[in-house]
Order: sequence, then structure tokens, then C-alpha cells
Amino acid sequence: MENTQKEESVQKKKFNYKILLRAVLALLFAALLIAVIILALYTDEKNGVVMGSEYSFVTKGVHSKLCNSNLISLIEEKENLFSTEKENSDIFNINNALKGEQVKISAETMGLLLLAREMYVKTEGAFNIAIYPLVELWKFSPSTFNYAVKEPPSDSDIDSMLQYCKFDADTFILDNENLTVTKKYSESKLDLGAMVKGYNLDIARQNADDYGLSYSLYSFGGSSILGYKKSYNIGIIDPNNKERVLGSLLLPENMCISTSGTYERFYKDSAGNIYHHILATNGKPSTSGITGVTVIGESGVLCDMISTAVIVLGLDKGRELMLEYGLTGIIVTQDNKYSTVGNIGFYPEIDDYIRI
Amino acid sequence: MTKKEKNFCKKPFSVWDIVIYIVFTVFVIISVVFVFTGEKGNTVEIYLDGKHLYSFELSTDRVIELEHNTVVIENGEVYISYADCPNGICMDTPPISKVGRSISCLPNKLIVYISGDSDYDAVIGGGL
Repeated sequence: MENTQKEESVQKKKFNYKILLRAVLALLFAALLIAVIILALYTDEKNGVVMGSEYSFVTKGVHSKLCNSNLISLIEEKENLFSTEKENSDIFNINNALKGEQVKISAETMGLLLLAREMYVKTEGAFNIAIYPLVELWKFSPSTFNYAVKEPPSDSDIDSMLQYCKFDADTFILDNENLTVTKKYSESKLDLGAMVKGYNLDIARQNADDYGLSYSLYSFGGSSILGYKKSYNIGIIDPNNKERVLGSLLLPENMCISTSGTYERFYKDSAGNIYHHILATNGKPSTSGITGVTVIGESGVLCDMISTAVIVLGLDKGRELMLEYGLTGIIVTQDNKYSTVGNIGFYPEIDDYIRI
Repeated sequence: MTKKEKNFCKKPFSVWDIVIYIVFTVFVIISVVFVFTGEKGNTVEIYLDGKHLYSFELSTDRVIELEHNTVVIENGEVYISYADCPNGICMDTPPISKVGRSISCLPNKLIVYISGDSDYDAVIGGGL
């Protein structure tokens, strides 16, 4: 009797031990499994402000935190080159220089200026980074803009500014060899605002390549997006009615999408007339009737430039320009019409617009 | 103990182990994935200077006082009611209520953004 009792208690102990071991193994296994799943699903979301506009990144992959922190640092560094406000940036120095002064700039800034020159010539002045003195006159610059009711500048003020606002080789001498810029007029000023958000996408792409990132969605200013190594479903907000989405399209892998719109900055005068910030070659807000443009292409900076140019150029010339550069997109007019350019898979979600 | 139980305890590893592990694994996978990707209501995310400060339900009315701005969540909408920035653009921006939209006070590096389930991965073109 005693023997079996002892045997039983020994058996019981062995039994407990085995169960305990199994429980511990199971827990370790579960912990490992959970860790693996979390790492696989890990999404880093970053939102903030850099170089005067907001950014939003949604990135998959554990090392994304490091990659995106580096991206922010890279872009913050660019402020020392491109900012109109930051003392001693290339653009600041150019803007504050006197006529005839040879301003030394970085190769990177020169690269963007040459690109802007090419686009200025190509669009016959529709895309013009030298229009900044007029932008300031109209109170559309970052430091002067607000929504308060105000009177527009007079025609004579606008006319006298126009001569300083040319970006031809005569008004701005770009010496690529010596990396200098020389102005004809002290009053002339440059602003890279219409290029920088798109350029940031190109920087983001290069940085992600360097870090071997899996995939990510990069957005700058709510108007320039890159779908890195993945295609994303993008909703296009109706430029005529910001409450709703015009439709959606699939942004192909590694492509950039950029929008420009007259709704971005505008104000009214006391009579209720609306003035928006995209100035045409006559120094006044463009009257082409286009309210919003969406451009899709590989190069971020190119898409950004062209989206602005198309608003000034109008529907036909704008579409021509986009097709010439192999870009696709959507053009929306103020009278509730829209046109798709090139082959894009656009799914409209409104039914009160006419497709042209 | 019965004979079956005895046999069960004697073998270090048996078919039952594998079955239990599989069932357990499936259960863990499903619950973790569910927790991480399950449906949640729309939330208002507040970022200041690149850092995530708060997440609030869009459905709950609330006034959030920050050092330079006041953010108001009211009737399923969110807007900035006060800012000490020079141009006050954020205060003139209409309230937002849809996922993916944001209002920002750029000089104060404040981003107020609505996250949640959406048909789109991102929206573009709403302006600053």
C-alpha cells in the first residue's frame, strides 16, 4: 500500500514537472511569435513641420525610424540652401545681393536654378521662380500671407515690378562653372517654393534607397506624395470643394504625385473679389480657369514645377506640356469640368462634373 | 492515473504536442493581428515639433490647451480656436472631420490630423 502511494506521488511530481516545462516553452514560443508579428506589422508614423511645410511619413519596417529621422535632418540641412527667410542661405544671399554682385552658391542650389531656368524657357515664363517680388507685393509670401480682407496692389505697382521678375539669362546670370549668380537688378528675388516639396520627395527616395527600406508613403505639404516601393490609393480632393474627394487613383510604385491649386492661398477684397496666389506672366492671378492640377511622374521636382506651370498655361497648353514630359494627371477647371491626361486609372467619385 | 495518461506523460514529445502548438499559434496570430489592425474609431492625432503628443477620439468633445495653440474637438469636427502665430492662418482654416485631413499651425510646428479607417491611403490637394 505504502509503495504505490510513494510511486504515485513521484509520478505526480514528474507529471507536474513536464506540464510546467511545456507551459514555459509554450509561453516563450508565444512571446517569440508575438515579437515577430509586431516587427512585421510595425509601422512608423511621423508627422511634423520642416522647411515651412508639414510632412507625413507612414513607413513599414523596424529600421524606418532611423531612416526617417535621417530624412528630416537632410531636409533641415536644405534650409541652409533654399530658405528665403534663413540668414545666409543661398537664396537669402541672392535675394539680398545688389545688382552686379556675384553671389556664390552651392552646386545643389545651382542645379535647381538651372532646372528652373529650363522650365521658365520651356513654359515661356509660366513657371517663374523670379516672380517673388510680385508675390510679396500681393502679400502671398509665407510671412505676409493671411486671410484678412485686403485690397490688391495697383496696376502701376504691378507693372513697375514686372521688369525685376524675369528669370531670363539677362536678368539673372547663372554661372555654372564658378557657381555664382549675378542679378541685373537689386530688387530681383528668387523663391524655390514651387519646387522644394517635390524635391523633398526625390531626397526621400534616395535616402530610403540608402537605408534599404521596405516600403513607405512620404507626403509633404499635403501636396506632394511619393509611394516608395509600393503602390498607394490616393484620394484627390476636389479643388472646387475641399469637403469632398473628386476621385481616387492608384499611384504606381515609386512614382511621385504633386498637386497645385488656386485654393492654396487666396484672399478677398472689400468688394468680394477673390485673388489667388498663382500669378501669371502679367503679374496678376492666373485667369486660365484652372483651379487644380495633379501631376504624376517619376521625378518629384519635375511634377511639382509642372503642376504650377499648368495652372498658368491653361488646359490645352498645360496638357501638351505634361504629355511632352511623359507625365500623367488630372486638370480641374473652375466651371466644374475635369480632364485626365495620359493613361491613369482614375475613379471619379462625383457625378456632377463633366469630363472633357 | 489511467494507462493513457501514463503513456502521455512518458513520451517527451507526441502528436498532441504538435496539434496543441498549431492551435495555440493560430490563436496567438489571430489575436495579435486583430489587436493591431482592428477597426478603431476616428482619432485626432496631435503632433508638436515632430513628436506625437496626444490621441483623442473624434467623437468626444474636448478642448485641448497647448502652450501656443488651443485645439477644439466639437461635434465630430476639429479646429484650432486660438494660436499666437503671426498670421493666424490656422484659425481661419475651416474645421475638418474626415480621415487623412489635417490643420497645422506651421510657425508653432503643430499638426492636428485625423486618422482612422479610410478608403484611401492618403489624400492630396486640400491645401496647406
